[in-house]
Amino acid sequence: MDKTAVLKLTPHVLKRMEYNIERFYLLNLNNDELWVGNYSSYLVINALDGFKTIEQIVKEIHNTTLSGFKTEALYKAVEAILQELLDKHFLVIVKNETALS
Amino acid sequence: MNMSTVTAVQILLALCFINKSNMINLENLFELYIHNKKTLQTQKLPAEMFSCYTKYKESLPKGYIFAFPNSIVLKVTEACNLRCKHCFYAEQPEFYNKRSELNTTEIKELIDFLVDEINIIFLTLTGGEVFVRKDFLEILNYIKQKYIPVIIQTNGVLIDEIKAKQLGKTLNLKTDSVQISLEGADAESHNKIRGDGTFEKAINAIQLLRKNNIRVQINMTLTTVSAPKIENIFELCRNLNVNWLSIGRLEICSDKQRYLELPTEELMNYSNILLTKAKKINDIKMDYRALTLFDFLKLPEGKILLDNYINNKDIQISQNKCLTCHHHDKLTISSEGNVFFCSMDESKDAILGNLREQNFYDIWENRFNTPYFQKRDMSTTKCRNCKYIPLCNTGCMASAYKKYGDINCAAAECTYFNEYMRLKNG
Repeated sequence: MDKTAVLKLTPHVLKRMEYNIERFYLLNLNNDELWVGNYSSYLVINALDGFKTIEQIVKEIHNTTLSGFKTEALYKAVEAILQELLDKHFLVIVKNETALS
Repeated sequence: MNMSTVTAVQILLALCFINKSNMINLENLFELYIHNKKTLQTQKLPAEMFSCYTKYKESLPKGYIFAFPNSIVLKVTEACNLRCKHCFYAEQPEFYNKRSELNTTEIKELIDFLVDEINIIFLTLTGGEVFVRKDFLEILNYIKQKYIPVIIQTNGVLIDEIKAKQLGKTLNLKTDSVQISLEGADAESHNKIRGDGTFEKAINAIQLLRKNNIRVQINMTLTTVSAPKIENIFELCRNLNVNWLSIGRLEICSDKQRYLELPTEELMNYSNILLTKAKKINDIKMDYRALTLFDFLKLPEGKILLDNYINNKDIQISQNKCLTCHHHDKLTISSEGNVFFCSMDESKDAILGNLREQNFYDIWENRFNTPYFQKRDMSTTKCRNCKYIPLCNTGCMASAYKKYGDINCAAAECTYFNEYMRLKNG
């Protein structure tokens, strides 16, 4: 995955966190697909705001919520989630350049 | 015609009239009622037609209690341009006066919070009359930038060509819809309830919305005024290219409105006419709410039908699909920022809090401190062992509270409740 890619949710994709069962849903009203993830994916999507690269997202999650995990392990997990969501059209790449700091 | 012939004809006519209610085959009506409800299970709100919504709902555990609501009813104003005879504000005209409504910025901030923080996935915009607000289209535009599916409820009177065009550009034609209220299938009936000239304006609004490919649903209440010509509603829908119709029950809010209420026999008659017609029609989907299972319980033959239904079949239809009181999935927010559990009762003791005075999380956390938001589920209701429970799922809590002052009683419309309690207590 391109480390400089800045991502955001695809238009017409709704997010919904069900805290009582720790399930995170993405509802895609374009292609009528549903994606179900866990609390980690909720953190990743919330950190994603159309201005950050994957490295910046990992850094933010590490600094704010999951400081007990090694950055490398977090990177792998975040990359897997983002790649899957990109492949399934829940995310779009805003631009492929060094992100705004 | 001699005198004896006149008398014979009169007697015959009188007998037909007396037996009018008996002329309905109650069993047939019950079948029609069940058929309508079953058909509707596959015909949902526009947004719910998306299978991702269905899959999301079906993936939740049975009896799931939501941490935060996923659907909001937002009253953008209490002000209204009409004074309808059957309105729940009719006896409280002070409600129509513009009070300290949330301003544009406050509403936008509220939308940000609801979508970005608690992740609502459905929004109903209602009033008063939403188009009385000069900034309504600005608010709608802001909401749609977040892609949330919306339903707009309006009387249609203030929708002109420009507004219809703007709506066509702003709304998602797949997920959103506009619901227009009509009080009859003809101008005379409608205008009698809503005021002179309002029918023509509402019809014009529907035509303009359809011209812009906006999905329209006609909402109607079955009353003594709308009933006589109500069977023409299908033709009207077809002429207007509208294929969604909801016919609701009149909720009496004061004794002055009693004249609008149909007696049970007449309600059954008109229901029979409408449901028979609806069954033969494929291009118009009718959600029929004017008749309830509780109406069958009022008649001895109806009770037998319900008993057979319970005993012989898997129960597929229940009266109460809302059950927000059990699942905590929906909230109503008034134009002043008052938060209510449901739109069925907006009395002072039903207010959970005000968004100008408290933050949402505090209001939500304190919800069990109000009479409504005490935990009420199947296990706490007084009629939990009633054999008809699978049909009503305990009924509406707000309706029970309004009639009995107790959320754990049966819904007000359940005429069997008192008999059940008598039997239960020996």
